[in-house]
Amino acid sequence: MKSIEETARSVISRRDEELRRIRKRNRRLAAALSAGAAVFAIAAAMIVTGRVSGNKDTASAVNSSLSGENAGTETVVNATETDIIWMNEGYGDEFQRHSTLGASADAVSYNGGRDGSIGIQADFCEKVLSAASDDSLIAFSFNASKGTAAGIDKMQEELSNECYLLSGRADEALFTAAERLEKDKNITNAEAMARATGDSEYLRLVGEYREKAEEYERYLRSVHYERNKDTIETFEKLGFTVISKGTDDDFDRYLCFGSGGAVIAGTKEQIDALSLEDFEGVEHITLYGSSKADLPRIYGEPKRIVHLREDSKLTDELLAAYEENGGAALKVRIKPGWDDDLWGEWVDPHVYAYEAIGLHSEEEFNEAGPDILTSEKVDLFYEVLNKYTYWVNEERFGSFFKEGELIEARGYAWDLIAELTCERALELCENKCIAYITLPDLNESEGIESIALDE
Amino acid sequence: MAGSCDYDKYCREGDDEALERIIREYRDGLMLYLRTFTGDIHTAEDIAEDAFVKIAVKKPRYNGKASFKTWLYRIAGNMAIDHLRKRRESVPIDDCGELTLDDISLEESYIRDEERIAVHRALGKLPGDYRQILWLVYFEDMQVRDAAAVMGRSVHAAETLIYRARRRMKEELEKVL
Repeated sequence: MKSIEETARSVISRRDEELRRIRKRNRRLAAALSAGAAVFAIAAAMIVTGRVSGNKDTASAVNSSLSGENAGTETVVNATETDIIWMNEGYGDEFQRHSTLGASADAVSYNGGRDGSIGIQADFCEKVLSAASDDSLIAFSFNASKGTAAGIDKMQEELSNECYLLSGRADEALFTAAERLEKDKNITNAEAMARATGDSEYLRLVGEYREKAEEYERYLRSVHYERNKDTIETFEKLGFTVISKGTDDDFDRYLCFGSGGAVIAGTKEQIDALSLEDFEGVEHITLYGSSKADLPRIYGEPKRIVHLREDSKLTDELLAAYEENGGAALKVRIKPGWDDDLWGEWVDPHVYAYEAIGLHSEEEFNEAGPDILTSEKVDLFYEVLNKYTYWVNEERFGSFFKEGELIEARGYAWDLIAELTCERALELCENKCIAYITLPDLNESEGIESIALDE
Repeated sequence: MAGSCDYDKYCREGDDEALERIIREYRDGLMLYLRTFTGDIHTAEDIAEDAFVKIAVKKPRYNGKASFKTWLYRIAGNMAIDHLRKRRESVPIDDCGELTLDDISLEESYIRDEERIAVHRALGKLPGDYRQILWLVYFEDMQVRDAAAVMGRSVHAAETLIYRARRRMKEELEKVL
């Protein structure tokens, strides 16, 4: 056993070594960002789910975990250690639903795309596969859009049976994917997940999730247009094509438009102050309000990526269910939650805002009604809310788009997520896996550059 | 006592001496606490060091909601759980392993009192969560609410756990006394 002095020396030495490694990586990231010009990064927030075991043969480990009478945890757990890398395609409404409703909170999310970018998907996944250790088990969670359905074939063709499809989708896509799995692998994806985790509870959560998703959509449809009418009109005046206003059937489709997209959150005044130049190169805007913060968000169409996650109780339940079965899940949460992962506690920023005006919960707030927000309290409420919520720094707003700087923000900031996810991914994979950050050039619609954040 | 002030100083100024004071103050107790997870002192030592490295590098925010010690123990405890999960190991539920010279040395320097050392050794016969709660409450003198925070449980659950752990401890002590 070391003496305390030796421990202290060792800690400081290891710290210095780690900081050197981080600085080196940040330099590479900065260089890549610089080269990428106006960039909003993160296509691949790589989150790696837990350490389970399987035999050395990845494919047989997968297969054995998904079939047979003794499939599931027992098979998976008893063999040699293996990493499961669960990749989420992260496209469009699938991406957003996963984000907001937590269907696959622990996943590799990356900017997929529809038919045109299947090659990119395959390329990306191939890189991940090649980077992963030989005994890694890799599962892909896909949106079952037409393009993805084709992509599944492509992936399976190119990557043989090393990839598997797991999904917890809330709507028909779930069933589409499930049908494909049933057909191809004689198994539904919900079953696949349940077996992979050995957790029948998951099935119940999937069912609950579907219900919640539907409820959520109904809610959004009913309230968002009214909430955001002014802002929508502002954007229309600026000449933007506002695809989604929350008033028509397309809303459902476009609600979760961003397979990415730069997330912009700001006060109405900030939004009003935008000019067209701020959005140079952005082809489409989808605008809708946050279900919680009542902040408008804008999603730019493809190649501008964000990994967005709103936490929900369900997310926690799913993660907990997964963790109980041997998974190690990473939660990327908005401040003040993200750095409280260590502490294991997340507090909705609203809680602080409610407390600031003398309330204790959202329920109390709802019961009191909007009148509770007297003029003094409104200021206080938003002052506190702002403190803990992601806001675009107005001063840097333009440069965010024009110069490709990493945005300085609390919460969904790229650098923050990159740090957390890559760090954690590397940690979980014992540095065998590589997290990619794609850096699409704003002016190159097809451009994807990847940098490996390896050791 | 080293704690939040030193941590704050370290985070703001990078003061290595502040970090060293934290390590000096908390290492031994933390190791013994982590031993309730790992069953052996050497793995506990590694995890404790990892925990210090983690806070030294990442400087996670200490929000002052609980004591610095509670916060530190929670971080390290989570790391121990991660470690066990990764290794797919579990400490035998009824045995915390044989004592080594290092264990004994640490007991003597940290616990000192012979009677308490005997009780500590009896802890090794208890299930992991019993060991953890009893260690925190009786050897670290934590309030139940702090022990609950360290273990990620509600106060009510911690109280229940203490009750059960005490009962089990009594049985164990009766066997040896």
